[in-house]
Amino acid sequence: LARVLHTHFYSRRARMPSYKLTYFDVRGRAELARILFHYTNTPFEDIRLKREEWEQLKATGKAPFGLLPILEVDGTVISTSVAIVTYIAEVTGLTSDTPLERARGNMMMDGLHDVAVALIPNYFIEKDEAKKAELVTNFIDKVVPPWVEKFEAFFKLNGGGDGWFVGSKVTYVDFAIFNMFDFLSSTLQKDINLLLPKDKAPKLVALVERVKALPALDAYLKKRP
Amino acid sequence: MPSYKLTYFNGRGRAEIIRLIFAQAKVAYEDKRIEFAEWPALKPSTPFGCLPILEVDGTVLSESKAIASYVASENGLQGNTNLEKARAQMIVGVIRGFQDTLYTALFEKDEAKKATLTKKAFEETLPTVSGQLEAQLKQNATGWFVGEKVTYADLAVFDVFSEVTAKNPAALSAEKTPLLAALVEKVKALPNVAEWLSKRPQTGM
Repeated sequence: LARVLHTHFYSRRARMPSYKLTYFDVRGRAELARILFHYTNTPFEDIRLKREEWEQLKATGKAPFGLLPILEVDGTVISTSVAIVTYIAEVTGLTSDTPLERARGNMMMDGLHDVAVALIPNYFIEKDEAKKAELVTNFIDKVVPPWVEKFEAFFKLNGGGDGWFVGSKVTYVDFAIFNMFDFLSSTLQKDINLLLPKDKAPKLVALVERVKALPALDAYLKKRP
Repeated sequence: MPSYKLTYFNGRGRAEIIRLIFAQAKVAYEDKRIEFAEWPALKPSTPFGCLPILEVDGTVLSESKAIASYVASENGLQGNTNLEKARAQMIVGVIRGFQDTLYTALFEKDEAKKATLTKKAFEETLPTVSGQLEAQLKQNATGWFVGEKVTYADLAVFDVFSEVTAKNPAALSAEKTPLLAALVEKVKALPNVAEWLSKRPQTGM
């Protein structure tokens, strides 16, 4: 029996693809992928490149669209962070059970992306301090609040917004929400309450806390670069 | 079969990819087109304050890429394996990103800025993306972007390139990107797509 079990586990390990995630040595667009891998205890290579190393890699054409992050799965290269995290969610069981739930999850991922692009990359490109400050103020005061209102309303359609964002189990969408607001708050050096106010989005605030309290995630957050 | 109602403006824009998927899948849906004047009243009732939306037996989906992915997945047009689905999503994301670049240029009010953005889109971004898409086709080596049959990735690339070449035929070169040019023709020739192209409303955008 022991030999049968050993063979089963060995061939299962042998069948698991090798995952190699390549990005810069920052959280940015790769952090959600890292979170999903760590939360599910899925082994992966967490490659962090310096600028010069990226220029070298870029020249090889390995990144299909000249951008990072990329995820290599047994040699196949996937790029764009949304395709990467959707894929990781599928293979690690962090996706929804039904097509409509998956669609609602994808919708939320696109919505989060729409929020982010209102700030990125302009925030990092803008050199004029006054213009940059105006960009930030506009983002926090005009762009984020309507989105937060819509996200909160959308969340409440799922069982009143008292559980996970889609369906009835935790999915990559929950981690994406946590990650987005964590990223915005640390990038802008503003308290998360400014971006996700408890009085305007109580359900979302509670969701973020629920995600942070997941033991496997908490462990990663405490040790991550 | 659920009842599908797609709501958008009277144009191709960000909804056409969804219409192409429905067409290729030969799935019936209500193709609701609203006037701009109707939009302010409708907007607050949409999940994210934008169009298109797809109502599926009462559930309302928004975000055209999410809708496209859903309709594709329900109709065998998403790719078969998780990796194929990821590659399809990547390609759709990239070509839609390019479409967003075109729209940003198109809707820019400052004439000088508009000229700069348009020039950059056509002279820098388009050739780069075309070359990258050509490489993806070459890698997959089946004539389609993903797997061995048409997926919504092919439809999405066709959608954007047919828009671009309608006004700028030189934007897609069979010499520079032969596989990409061939792909656009292949999609156009799919019987269900060809039928839709011949009967769809002719609108400016």
